[in-house]
Order: sequence, then structure tokens, then C-alpha cells
Amino acid sequence: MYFSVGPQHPGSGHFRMKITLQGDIILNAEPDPGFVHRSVEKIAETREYLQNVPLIERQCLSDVSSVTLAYAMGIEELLGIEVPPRAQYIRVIMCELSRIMSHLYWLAIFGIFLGHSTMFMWPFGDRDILITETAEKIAGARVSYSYIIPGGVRYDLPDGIKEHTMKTLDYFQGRLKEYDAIFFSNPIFKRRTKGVGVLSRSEAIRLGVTGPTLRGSGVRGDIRKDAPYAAYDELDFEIPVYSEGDSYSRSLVRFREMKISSSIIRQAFENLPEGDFKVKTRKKVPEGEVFSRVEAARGELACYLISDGTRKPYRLKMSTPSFRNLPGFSLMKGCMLADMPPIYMSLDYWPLETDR
Amino acid sequence: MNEAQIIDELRDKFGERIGTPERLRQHRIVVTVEKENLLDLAKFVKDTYDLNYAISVSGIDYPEQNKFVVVYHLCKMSEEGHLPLVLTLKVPVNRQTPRTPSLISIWQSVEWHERETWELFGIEFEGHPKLERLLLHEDWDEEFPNQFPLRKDFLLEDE
Repeated sequence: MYFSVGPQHPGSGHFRMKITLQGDIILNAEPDPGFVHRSVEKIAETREYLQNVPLIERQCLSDVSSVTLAYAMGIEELLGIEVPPRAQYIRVIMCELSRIMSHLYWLAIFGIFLGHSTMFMWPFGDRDILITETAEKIAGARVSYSYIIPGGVRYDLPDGIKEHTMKTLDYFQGRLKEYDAIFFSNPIFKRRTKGVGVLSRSEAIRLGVTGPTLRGSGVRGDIRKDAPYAAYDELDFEIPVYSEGDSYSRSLVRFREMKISSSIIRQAFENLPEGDFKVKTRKKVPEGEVFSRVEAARGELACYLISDGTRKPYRLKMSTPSFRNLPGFSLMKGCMLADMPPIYMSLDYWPLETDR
Repeated sequence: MNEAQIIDELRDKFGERIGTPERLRQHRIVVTVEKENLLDLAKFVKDTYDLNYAISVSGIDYPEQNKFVVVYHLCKMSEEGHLPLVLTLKVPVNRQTPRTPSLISIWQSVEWHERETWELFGIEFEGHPKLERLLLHEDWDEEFPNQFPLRKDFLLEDE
């Protein structure tokens, strides 16, 4: 039997999976992206460098900071400017906040996919009230704040934000324990994800998957450690790795990352240097090419930028983590239909990011 | 793995068959190679330096020079993570007959990237198993026959 899952919003944006079934076994699962293609790369060639910041962050609305950071880092490298240390720390804070936001979104959708509606309500509630509110206090908008710009960040941190964030994170720590109790330690969740969709280490590298999907397969691949950017080399944090390669270990990677991200934010606030939060940049960017990499919530995001010396990019290519995780859908082959939702969610696939 | 060593070794081994390897900055090496020598070079860098992980494949359009450039970004992934070095292979492709060998036999992970480049630039990857519509609408060919959105001669309405 052949049928489609989607394209009307199977969980995180318009996207279709073409499933071929025999009895209850999935013979073939082919992803069919492109329903939300907005040709960001083409439009970017017609706009000035700064105008592109709000444009490119629309390719991944749940994790906007890392996308804009990769782009800003590329421009800064071409311009040859040094970003002030205070801005680097603020960037780390925003990137980790947006990582938590993205993982909370993922967790909520995962909950509803497995029929656990409390797990849908809690993370969405916490995300909206705690994390996006903190982002709003810092950047002036909840989700798409265009806060990281070439040369630094748009505004300095407001007064009292440190206390507010610490209070938020204290509460969030308690919530994480509750998430663990009702969801990650839940025997039903374990039975539905353990041993389901196993991706071996060598296969993960061969298919080129990235992010938590890679780290759930026993590879310690994280750009924050391997090729540090912003202020990550001055902060102390660990990279969670699980070697089982199943849906459960991929989920645990993201769960532990939320805790680690909170600790990174705390450290960044403790060590926040004084000084400028941005430097002046020029509108014309010198000729050249640059390849900048960051670790976004779903994995490595690379920005390949080619400048011809004018005010607009000649070519901007974003290699996004969800696009690179597309081969992961082959994990569904041979599984039962009921295993499809946990595998789909454990890949944390985000259609907007793939289609750009 | 020293970057200067890699550059020397590539120059010794391939000589005239590739362009001069260039070090853009720390961890970034760029090599230009004609498509006839692409498979040889790709096999060599994979076997010698163990660059087992393809990060991205991009196309660039240069209409004045009558060429496309296909760009592969490669790096090494081990159990302990990425190696920070990124090797860039640039393959110039004639704009009239845009064909180049697919590297899918060497890096499985280029499959979707090459398919995207085929769709948006119209560059044929020889040996790719599945060059089919990916991001664009399936009726694209009827509405815009022989047009490829990321080419420079495809103009947006407000341009």
C-alpha cells in the first residue's frame, strides 16, 4: 500500500513522506521536501548584506540566532573586523536560549506524536512564558528578533536581565526534572523509542547526518568544541554522546543539551565582559569567499558566502542541518508503521530549514 | 595533518592536473580541478586524508566567464568529532553543456546536495541515481521551461 504523510503539517511545517507499506511494515519511506521553499538564497542576492539578516533567519524560526550568527561571522571575516568580547558573550547567550527554545518545541511535538498531551502543553507553556520572554527582554521580539548583526549585536543587554535570566533558569531546572519524570523515564516512552530506528556510527558518518542525530550514534561531533566560534572556547561545557544510535539516545542528547545550555548561559552571564556590544561595519564587503560553520540546534549549519565587492552578496549558500539529516529517513525502512512518529521526531526534522 | 603538507603533497602528486592549492586562512584549503581529473583527486583526498564527510555542495553562476562552478566542502569526521580543516574542491563546468561527474560513489552524503544543485542550476551530475524535482513545484517545467532559479539570468520581479 502506498500513502502520503503530510503535506499538511505533519508536525513542524508542510512536508510530505511517501510511505510504501506491506502489512504493517514500512518498505520505503521517501521524504518529499519543498512545500515551503521560499528561495531565500535567490532573494538574498538582490538585497544588501544587512537587509538579509531578517530574511535568512526566516529559514529556521525556531532557532534564529545560530543562522544569523553564521551569516554575520562570514561577513565579519570578509571585512576583517574583530567583534568585541562583550558581543561574543551576548551571542553565546542568545544562541543557547534559542537552542533551548528549539528543543522545547521539539519536545512538545514529540509528546503529541506519542499521544502524551501533557508533554505537549508543558514545554510550549515554558517556552512561551520563560524562554521567549527572556529573549524579548534582551532583543525586543519573541522569536524573530534579528538581534545578531554583522559587527556585534543590535542593542546592549537591558538592566536587570541577569537576575531575570537566572531566576528563569532556576525554575527551568526544576521543570527539566519533571520532564524527565513524566516523559524520558516513562516506561511507555522508553518502549516506543528504545531500539527503534538504529543508526550505527559508521553509517551516520557515511550518510553525513549532523547534530544530535550524529551524537546519538556515538560520534562526538559538535562545532562548538571542534572549531570554536564566538566565546565558546572560554566556557566550560560537555557534549552529550550516546552510542546506541536509536531514537531514545537521540532524544536524550537533546534533553541533556537543554541542561547544558542553561549552564552555558549562566557561565556567560558570570563572565560577561564590559565594553562595546558592536563595532561599525561597512556596507560594501570586499571581494572574496568565506565558509563559516556554527552548531545550530539541529546540527552543523554552514554558510558559504561569495562577495564580488558590492553591497549585495554574489552568492549565499546555506547548508542547513535538516537538509543534511534527510538521509536519516531511510531508518524507517523495515520498521513498523507505529514506529514512524518516534523516528521522525527523533531526527528533529524541520521542513522550513530544509526548503529555505 | 599539516595544511602546508597537504598543499605540497597535492601539488607534487597532481602537478598540472589541478590548479594551485590555495590556503585562504587557517583550516581552509581551496583546490580548483577540471572535471576530467575530479574523480581521481576526490578518491585521493578521501583515501589519503580520510576526508569522509561531505558538508555541502554548492553551485555558482559566472555568466561573463561562461561557466558554472560546483563547489564541494569536505571535512574529516572521527569518533572524537570534526577535524577543523575544510577542503574545498571547485569544479568549473561549461555553461552551454553543464555536465560533471557525480561524486556519490565516493561520498554518499552528497546525494541530496547534488540533486538540489541539479534542480536549481541545471547542472547534470553523471552517475547520480536520482535527479528529480526536490524543492521546486512539480509543474515548474511547464511554467518555466529550461529555466533555473539560481542562475543569474533568472530575474526576480522586482529586479
